[in-house]
Amino acid sequence: MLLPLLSLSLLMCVFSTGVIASDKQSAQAAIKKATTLLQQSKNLGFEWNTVTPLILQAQDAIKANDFDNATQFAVKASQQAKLSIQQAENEEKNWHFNLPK
Amino acid sequence: MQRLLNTFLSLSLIVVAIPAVATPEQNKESFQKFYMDRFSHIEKDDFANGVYALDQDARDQWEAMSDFPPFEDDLDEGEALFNTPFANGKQYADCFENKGQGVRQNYPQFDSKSGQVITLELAINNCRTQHGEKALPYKKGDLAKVSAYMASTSKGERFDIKIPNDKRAQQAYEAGKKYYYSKRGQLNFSCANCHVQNVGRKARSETLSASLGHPTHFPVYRMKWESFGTLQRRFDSCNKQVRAQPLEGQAKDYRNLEYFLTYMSNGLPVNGPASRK
Repeated sequence: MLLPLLSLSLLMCVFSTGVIASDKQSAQAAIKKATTLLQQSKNLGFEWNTVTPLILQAQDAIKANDFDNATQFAVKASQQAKLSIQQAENEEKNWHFNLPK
Repeated sequence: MQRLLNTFLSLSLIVVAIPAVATPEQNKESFQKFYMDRFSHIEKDDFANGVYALDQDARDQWEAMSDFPPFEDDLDEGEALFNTPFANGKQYADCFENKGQGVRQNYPQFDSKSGQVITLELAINNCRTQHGEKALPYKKGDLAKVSAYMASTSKGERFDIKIPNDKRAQQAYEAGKKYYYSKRGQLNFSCANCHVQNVGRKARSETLSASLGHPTHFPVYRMKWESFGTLQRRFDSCNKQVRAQPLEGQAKDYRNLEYFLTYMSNGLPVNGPASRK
């Protein structure tokens, strides 16, 4: 009887996703990080128009006390802002390769 | 033999070093040559007709519509606005050379006092504020109507954008060029990706137009907008299409881009305002 229970517990540990529920504080921190990255990409002149809507969605989710979704939107916004910064750095070096040959 | 080899290597280095920085004039020559070679059956002046130089079906529809241009009322309004005195009794005509008639082909121009590129729309608003009027919103509305009227008085004049021998003017031109060739937005597209590398091909049902001639017919009346829009309004549309954040009207980057793009069309006739889909 003990063995199946132990096996089941072990399986649950192995296949658990490790996701920790977000609280208000962590969601707000994620939004702050995304906003900072967005400002960096703006300063470089390479802002994507997809980032601000994600931050707004994250803020709306916080208002609705949906901290998991708020964090997810903010993380997505951060990822996209980081990519736009990477794009700016890449174009700084390589834009001239687009000139007509 | 060794001496010959050394001479050859030295000459090679010189040849490689020369074209490192092309002048704006050289840029313009190669830019225009690219389109002339790519579409050898099209007369250079016809590039001023934008996509209708490349797409005969679209051109047929556009020409049929040109008998009764959809912008006539807005153009009349632009003329009326242009001739309406400000509260202090001055007019737009007082701010421009030749009373504002036939000047479109000289804009954008570099102003050595401010060290900035001045587009026609910016000059119109500068005129207003100098005479105590509020600046108009950029990109559309009354400003675009006045600009369209002014363009109409330049019909047939050839673009003659100058880049003076001023380091700041060269920098503005280079910044515009860099903007044009830089990929941006989530879709990672530059202006050149569509309008140079893929010119004449289709993006969904639309033919991608040549950048040679892009600025000649602005402001344009787009059916989609149901109103006049300036060239910078069109920049917004392109940016949105590649999911880049559009800039404020008359942002420095947009003015520099307009400076570069219009210089590339030097020699082409002004044929604005025009209508587009």
